[in-house]
Amino acid sequence: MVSIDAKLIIVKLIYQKKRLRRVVLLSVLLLSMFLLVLWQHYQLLDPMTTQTAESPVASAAIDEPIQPIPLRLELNESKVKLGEKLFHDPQLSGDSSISCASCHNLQTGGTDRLPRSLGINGAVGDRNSPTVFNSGFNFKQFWDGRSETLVAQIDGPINNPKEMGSSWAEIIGKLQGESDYVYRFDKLYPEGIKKENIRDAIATFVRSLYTPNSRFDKFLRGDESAITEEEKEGYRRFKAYGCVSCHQGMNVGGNMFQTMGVMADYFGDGEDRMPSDAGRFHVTGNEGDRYMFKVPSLRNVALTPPYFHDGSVVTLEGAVAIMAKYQLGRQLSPKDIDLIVKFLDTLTGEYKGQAL
Amino acid sequence: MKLAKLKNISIGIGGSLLLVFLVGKTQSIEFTEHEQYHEQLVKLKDNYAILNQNLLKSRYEILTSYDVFVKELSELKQTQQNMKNIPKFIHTEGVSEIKQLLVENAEVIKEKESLIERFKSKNAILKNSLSYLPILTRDIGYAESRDWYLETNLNDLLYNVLLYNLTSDEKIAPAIESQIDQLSEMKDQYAASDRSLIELAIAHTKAIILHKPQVDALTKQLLELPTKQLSDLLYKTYEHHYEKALKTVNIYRLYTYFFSLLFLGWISYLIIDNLAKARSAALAAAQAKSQFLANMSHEIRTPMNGVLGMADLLAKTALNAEQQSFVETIQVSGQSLLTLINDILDFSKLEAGKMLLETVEFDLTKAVDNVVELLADKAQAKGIEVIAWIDREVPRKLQGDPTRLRQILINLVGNAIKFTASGEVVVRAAVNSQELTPKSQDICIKFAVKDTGIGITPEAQNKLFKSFSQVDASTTRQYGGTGLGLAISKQLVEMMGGAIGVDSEVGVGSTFWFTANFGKLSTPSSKYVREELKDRRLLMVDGNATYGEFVDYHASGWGMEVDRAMTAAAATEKLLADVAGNRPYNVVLLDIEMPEIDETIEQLIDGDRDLSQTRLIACATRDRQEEAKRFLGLGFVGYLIQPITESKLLDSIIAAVTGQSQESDSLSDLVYNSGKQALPVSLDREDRTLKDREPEVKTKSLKILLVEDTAINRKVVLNQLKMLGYRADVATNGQEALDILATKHYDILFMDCQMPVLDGYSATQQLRQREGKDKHTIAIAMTANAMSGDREKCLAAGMDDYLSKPVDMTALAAMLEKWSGPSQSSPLSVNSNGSTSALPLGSEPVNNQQSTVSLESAKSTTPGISTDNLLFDRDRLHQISHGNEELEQELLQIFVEDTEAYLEELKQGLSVNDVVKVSRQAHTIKGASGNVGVTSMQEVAAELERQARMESLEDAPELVAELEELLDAVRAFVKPLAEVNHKSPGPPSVSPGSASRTTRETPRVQTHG
Repeated sequence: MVSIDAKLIIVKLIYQKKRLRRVVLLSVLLLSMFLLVLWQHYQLLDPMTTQTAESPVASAAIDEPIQPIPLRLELNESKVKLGEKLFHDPQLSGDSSISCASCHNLQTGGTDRLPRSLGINGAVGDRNSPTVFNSGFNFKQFWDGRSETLVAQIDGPINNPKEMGSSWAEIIGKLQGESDYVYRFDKLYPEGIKKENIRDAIATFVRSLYTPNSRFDKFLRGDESAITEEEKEGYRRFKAYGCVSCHQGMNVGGNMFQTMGVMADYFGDGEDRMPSDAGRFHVTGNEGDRYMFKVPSLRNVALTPPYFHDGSVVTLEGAVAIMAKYQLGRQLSPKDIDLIVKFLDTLTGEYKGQAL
Repeated sequence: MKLAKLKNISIGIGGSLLLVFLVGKTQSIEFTEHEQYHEQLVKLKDNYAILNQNLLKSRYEILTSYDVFVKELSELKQTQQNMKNIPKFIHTEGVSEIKQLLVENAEVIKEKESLIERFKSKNAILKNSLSYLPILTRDIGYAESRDWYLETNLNDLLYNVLLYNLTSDEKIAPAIESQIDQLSEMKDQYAASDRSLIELAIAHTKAIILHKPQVDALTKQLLELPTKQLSDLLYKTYEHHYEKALKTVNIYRLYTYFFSLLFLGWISYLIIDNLAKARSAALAAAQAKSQFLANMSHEIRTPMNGVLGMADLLAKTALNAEQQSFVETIQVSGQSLLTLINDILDFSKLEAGKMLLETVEFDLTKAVDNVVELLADKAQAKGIEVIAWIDREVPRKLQGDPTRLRQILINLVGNAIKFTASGEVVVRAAVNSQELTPKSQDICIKFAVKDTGIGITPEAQNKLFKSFSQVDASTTRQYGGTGLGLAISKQLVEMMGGAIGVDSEVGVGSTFWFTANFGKLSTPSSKYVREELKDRRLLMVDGNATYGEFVDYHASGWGMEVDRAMTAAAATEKLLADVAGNRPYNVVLLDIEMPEIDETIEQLIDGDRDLSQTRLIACATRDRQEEAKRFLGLGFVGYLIQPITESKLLDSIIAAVTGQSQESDSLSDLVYNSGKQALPVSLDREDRTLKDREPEVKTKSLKILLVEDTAINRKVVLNQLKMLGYRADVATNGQEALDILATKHYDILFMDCQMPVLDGYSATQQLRQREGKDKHTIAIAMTANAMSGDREKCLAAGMDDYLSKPVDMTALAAMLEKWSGPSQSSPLSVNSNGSTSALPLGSEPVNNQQSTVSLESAKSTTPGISTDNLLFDRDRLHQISHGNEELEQELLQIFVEDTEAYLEELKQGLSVNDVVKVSRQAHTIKGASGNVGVTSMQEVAAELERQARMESLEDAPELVAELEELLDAVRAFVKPLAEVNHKSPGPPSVSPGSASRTTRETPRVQTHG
């Protein structure tokens, strides 16, 4: 009788005491933690999956010194759209008079076709505006390669008083006044309108300005009939005369520096010279870098006159002749020039499926 | 309590935090992070390798585009950038090491880039000139003004230039330069167009000579940059620190395992602790309930005694028949109520764990026979034979608690009789061979009570031993009873180290059995075979097979030849045959209730038989006792009244064989005893005082000296002696006693053992020395040390006997009786039953006067047990005072005053850690409180004394406080008690409940006696 009562009391005590229940709960929790650690330990004992074997070096295509532009690049479409709007927005300049597109007109081969561009208040720039098309493939930006990337490059024209003459704070202020920007930035970037985000959007857009599917690329991809026999001969001479020593790679240039006037003194031959002619010397201060410029891309070269950093040559033929003289140290026959120019014409590609 | 809880909570929180911390530490290695970083390291190596490969390819014109350089360089920079995010699990030391290497790496990359830029420019020029020079040479060769000399010179130049380009032989350069000089001198001989070509060739050659060493130097520089070493070092450094981090994590993991186990263990401890606490709380609650029940039962008994006592007195007055019947009903109802209460009391005591078994020496045969005799009336009324059968192998002298053994047996046998309509009930005791205890001193005996009753279904068997459970409710109605009997028996059996059970078949009967352990006496039991009976012939004439077997079994055991006759005819035949065979039976046991037995008897008596050879013993049930007596004059030497027990059988056969007639004392004693002991066992625990007995003021000429230091004890013993008709002188310590003894002669000395000045042992020793061999004053020790060793100590000191305190009046009477004989001067050896305080009921043949005493003894053994959980034992007090409240008051008053003084002494002793003093005072309090029946204090004082003896006084203050508390309670009780007693009705001479018992049972004693 009594012993049964005692049992009942014990059972009641166990179930009534919340404290006890809590203690039990805690122990279950601890047990699970213990098991978790145990499980992880077991995982750790598994052989490591990271192998240190050297991956074979990808062999570069060595058939031709020039490679075709990829037909498609994976880019964030929304950013491209936003960048496009910013690219064309004059608010980015100090007096809201010019946009990026003012000097890099996409209708005219991505350049303004002026020897030297005009900035705000009619200021004249130091050098010829290079095309924005395929600039994403260039190894460095600006003629003297002072910017490593497209993103970094943007600061240049924005802050240059001879170009857009503005500042980021100013630009951000302006952009925030426009609800569309606020909305689109907020959607794409957690921090909204910000210097880095504006640059990222513009750079993304510029990266989208690639021109694949030129006739020459088609030829490179195996379409023998894409270019004519004359053009093929032009390409042969382009290679044979040494042009290809510098103008090679996917962008037919844009991947190295070279001294302007290797075989002859380009700057010594009369004509007024400008301080900016010292080229990469301004960046590095090395005497060896004097007159050193980035080898420009020859993609769409037919659409981007005038030529050279100073925009001193209007025709392609003239440019080819000057290059042959100063860089290759030879005299080209008109026939040679004609053929090479014909070849250069095949480098004009398509943007958004349309020929430039 | 609260503090402990707070402590537990803080330990819990602390432990959890520590565990979380440890687990966090084990989680510190992010494996994706590690894999990514590892990938970067591999990539760095790859990038460097690819760059160097392509550099060589480009130098030797296998590679035609510089895109690879651009790509690899930008990847290199990216990798470098990525590697700046060093995983967090790397130690600071490792981080700084890696950062240092990364700085170096950044410099190398920068260096590499600038060298590559220069290489590209120079290499382009070199390549251009190298490819144009052969064309130019050919163009000059094809020119109109073809000149073999010029051509040879130009070819030599071209040859040297190409050779120069492919080797690093610097000796070629001067040769080329001299050739250039030669050409410069020659060019003027040629036409303008040729001249310009020659100049062009010179210019390109110069360009080659200028740029070739530069390109080679750049290539060399580029290849010599410590890119491989650096990337390898980075890789190794990182791996090293990663391993280190891994090791640390593993150590933390180990800690976590260990600590988790520790923590879980702690929690388990908490849970167990909680459960244990809950359990003890529950048990305490249960015990409190039992305690309450015990108290209640006790309290109920007191008024019950009043009711019964008054009913008894009322019955003795002149009543008419109707009134008489009413009174009888009151008596019977009261009696059964008392039985019920006693059962409940026993049960609750068992549940409360307050039941203590005694260990005394007893005779198993007597204990069992006792039970059978007790229930014989009831059985015979139903025509049931009850047989007590103890196997020969069972030792008769055992140590254990005979009272409780009897209680169990009475219960089982009573039940058996109750549930048996006809047939027999056999109580059998045998050595339980299966459960022989390893200790040779113990023996396990199995008792089985077999009946031919209604039987019990297996389902009901399961419930049997549970409290308040009978077979079913209807059984209760039909047979009555509390249903506690078996539950009590079960617990008692378990206390005796045994088990209880039942085997039963419905309609056939049940066998209730139990086992119990008893102490075997070291002295070997007397031989079973009786010399005087050896080879004597016995004829058993009885219709009952079991009885026949029983007699056969024992008589053969004693060495007799036994023949059995189941019918009168068979008996006649056997008797005739034995005369013919000239081997007459020595003893014939004859059931005079058998059919046609009269004829046989006639033959036996009237025939020409030589009755000098054959002794006839008549067997009869109690109702036919008178008839049996009649036979005594007819040639029978004795008669046996059923139930026939082993001892009765033996006695009667021995009496018959040795030629004693029926008038012999032993036989009549036998008959007398059986009658006297046929008391319901509930009497054992019955409250009775001695009040109804006339105080026998005997002319006691015994000279008694009481040596006792405690006033209350003196008072009590003196009063007890007075009640017994003795007077005594008093000494307060051993020295005083010796002084008195020197001048005066005493017959008996009651000597307290622990006394100041000179203790009982020393005093006795000195006395013995003084007396020498000429004189011997009987010295009886009185001590509260109820330990077995104390007796030996007393005897060793030269004392003659031993009385344990609190002194029981019966024991005192027995003691005086024992030592007041003619042997006053002769030192008697103490017999085995010397411990008179535990005298079992009727365990010894006693004379009339002593039988009264033994009745008291039966009664007085109980109060100490039944009330030990109360403040004090009122029965004891009643007993001492013989119901004299004034005396009670006086006793308690003295007790309170004395004890206050002792306690004061004790506390003083305690304050100076005087173990001896504390022990002595505790002893005194123990004795005093025991004497007046303040059992509660007696217990506490005993514990205190025990601890003090062991020189451990840690709990002493607590115990002293308890004593003081109890004393206060007693003090508070003194007055209220007086008030109550004054209010209580009836003359003080009539103590409740007692008279009834004796008056009802005494007549029977007288009839048979």
